[in-house]
Amino acid sequence: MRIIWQEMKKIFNPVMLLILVLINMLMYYIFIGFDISVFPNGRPATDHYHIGIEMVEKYGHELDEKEFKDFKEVLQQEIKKADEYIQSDKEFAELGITTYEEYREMKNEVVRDPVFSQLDSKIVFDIGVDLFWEIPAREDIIEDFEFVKERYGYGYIEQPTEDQERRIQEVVNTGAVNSIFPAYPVEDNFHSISKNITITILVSVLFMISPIFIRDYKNNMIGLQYTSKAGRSLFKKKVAAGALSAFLITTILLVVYYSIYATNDIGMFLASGINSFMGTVYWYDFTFLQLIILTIGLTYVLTLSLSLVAIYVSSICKNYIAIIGFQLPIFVLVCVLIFNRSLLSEAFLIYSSQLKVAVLYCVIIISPIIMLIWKKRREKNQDILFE
Amino acid sequence: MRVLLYEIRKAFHSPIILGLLGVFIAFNFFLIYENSFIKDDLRKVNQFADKYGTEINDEMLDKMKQDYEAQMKKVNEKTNEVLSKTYESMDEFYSDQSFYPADHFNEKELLLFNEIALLEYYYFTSLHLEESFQNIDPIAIAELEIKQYGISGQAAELIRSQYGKFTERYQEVLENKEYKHLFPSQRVFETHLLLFKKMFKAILIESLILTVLVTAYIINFEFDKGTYLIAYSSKRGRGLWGDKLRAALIINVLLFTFILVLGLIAYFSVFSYKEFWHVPISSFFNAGKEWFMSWWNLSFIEYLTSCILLAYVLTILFTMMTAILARYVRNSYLVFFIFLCLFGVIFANQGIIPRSNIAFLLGYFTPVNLVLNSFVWFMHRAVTFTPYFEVITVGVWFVILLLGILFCARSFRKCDLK
Repeated sequence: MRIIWQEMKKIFNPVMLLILVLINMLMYYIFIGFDISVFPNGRPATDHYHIGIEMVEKYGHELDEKEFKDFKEVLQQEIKKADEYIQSDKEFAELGITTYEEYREMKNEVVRDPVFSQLDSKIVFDIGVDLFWEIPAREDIIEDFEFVKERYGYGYIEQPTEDQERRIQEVVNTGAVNSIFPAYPVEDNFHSISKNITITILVSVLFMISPIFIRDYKNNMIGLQYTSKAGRSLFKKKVAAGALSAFLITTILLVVYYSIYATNDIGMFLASGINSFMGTVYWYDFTFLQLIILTIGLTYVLTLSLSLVAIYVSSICKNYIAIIGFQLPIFVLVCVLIFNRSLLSEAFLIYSSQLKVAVLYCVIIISPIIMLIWKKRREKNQDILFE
Repeated sequence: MRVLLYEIRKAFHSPIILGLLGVFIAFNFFLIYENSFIKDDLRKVNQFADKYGTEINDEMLDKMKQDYEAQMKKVNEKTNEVLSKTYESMDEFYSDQSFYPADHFNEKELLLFNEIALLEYYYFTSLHLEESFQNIDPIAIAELEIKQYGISGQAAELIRSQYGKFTERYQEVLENKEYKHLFPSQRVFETHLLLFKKMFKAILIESLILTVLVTAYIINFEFDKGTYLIAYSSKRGRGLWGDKLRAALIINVLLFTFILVLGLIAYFSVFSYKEFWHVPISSFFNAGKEWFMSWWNLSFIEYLTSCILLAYVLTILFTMMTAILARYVRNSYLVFFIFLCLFGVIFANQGIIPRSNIAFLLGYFTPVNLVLNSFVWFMHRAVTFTPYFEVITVGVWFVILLLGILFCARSFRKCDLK
């Protein structure tokens, strides 16, 4: 235990910690900060978000027929308000528009009246009257709910396989689809931020763990270590120290980044099911909170597995450049897979094959373990002079 | 000389550097392979250029028109036979939803249709080229860019004061008919983005990684291996540092040449540019979603050459940057990560400068910005308001880094080795 503690002290040396903080600040600024400071991003997203909050507060986490009627009622009231707004506005009067219905007709015309277009963009974009954003957003939600049997889930897959078809039917029939969860800003935001958080943590962990063996090799410690009482079992202890440190760094960074994420104010949706008529279909019936916890779990799996690879690479390489060069392609590959929607929360969406995800994670978990076991066996008979 | 040679040999004896080189080259080939589906159509565009000449004028349009009409006649004969319908244009044919072309025509006919559609696109676009070019308002585009980047105040004023040059160059292109040339169409093939954004950026970043690794490796070699006390007390002594720097420069240039030449050879053997080497890069066919107009009248080959030259200079700049870091940080692992941080800091520096400040615009004048925006080099752009943007950036950084290197070389003579 004492040896593990001493090894960890070597990993967390002050210079490395300083650079770690710098790396994290930069990566936060370049990759993560945007999803925090600009949430919800832009106009229809903000409206969908606010309507989602309103619905959850009013109806709970599921929408039934009665509540749906009430929701439609609210839309009618909004339209009435819009009518009043239009009637009280001089510029609309000049164009002869007296109701929201007329406004909508003018808007849908193929060749628009230029004066109307100008007024429209002034109301919608320059002044940003809430009503003119919220009514279309509400109409979208109502449409999604009404056509759930026909359209739900097919938006992303043109030709569903039998399994996909069955899963979509299941979600619709069990009523899981009635869940209230504004996927458009909330879920997308989570997907984007969770990917960037994972990559930031990966960089941090790899940076800290990689020199674990090579540092001793460079300082000519190997001969001393092998002939000491702990001897070759030191390998096991160093691996344990490395894994423990990786776990520690991951935990600390996860706590930091997810508490920053919590400032996005998505608490009210945590208990909502993710297979919502407002969003997409997943293979499993999770709530949003479960999805977040699962993603955090996967982040742990990825960082621990890659840190074990880093430990292995560190034990076989003879110089610092080699560790970087060796791990760079692996790291890039993992990043590509993450952005390919194959590794994190997006891997459970209906259009990604679950077999592929399972195989990927098997490889990710098993390969570093095999490498390390192999290395440990060799370590036992290693010639001390020719390392 | 012999010392230099031995220093250079070190890099090529390192399996990891050669391995990375192999991976990078393979990746570049993969990029080309991934986009190779446009190669047949590009060959056809070359045939058009061969047949009609690349310059668009009345005579050439006449020839195109005759061919196009003759071809359309053939199509109509076929469609009349099979579907008993005739069409005005291929566009109309393809937008007819009442049947699937693949159900009624064999593969050869479909290929022919495809070719005629391409000819039609080129003919119609050439026909309206003058009109569409005259419809461009360079000032409006610049204003939009200012708005997009949220630039205001003094900075915006500085950009606006350069509008005279913008319009002057636009008028010049308008008058000398640089824009009236056939070129692989950006709207259809996006070849400019493929070559100068995807490929060039990939090559630059790959060479950047190798540059940092090699420079850190070579310069810190003696400290890494624990041989520094012997090496620096030999007759060559501290002068070895200069040898190492020269060796790193030579290796980096060699490695970059290797990646670049192999990448470009592969690129141009897959995508044919046979007829287009001397077509001005400002051709309006080269304008897609983004509008590319170079500050000077450069033909494609001239433009490519200047981009390659600039890329070489960037490689040298980054070598110098790493060398300065490696002078003070003797652990090559830390050098690599500190360099990455430095890269990030230079990239992100603009975030803390208010967008009304001229310093915000000066924040664009960095090699990092050049690496990340390889596709707009030498192009007309509002935020990089001067035609000499690339030259100034590279020049200023070179001078600064050279001073830094000289200082490092001097200070290394007397520094403590421990």
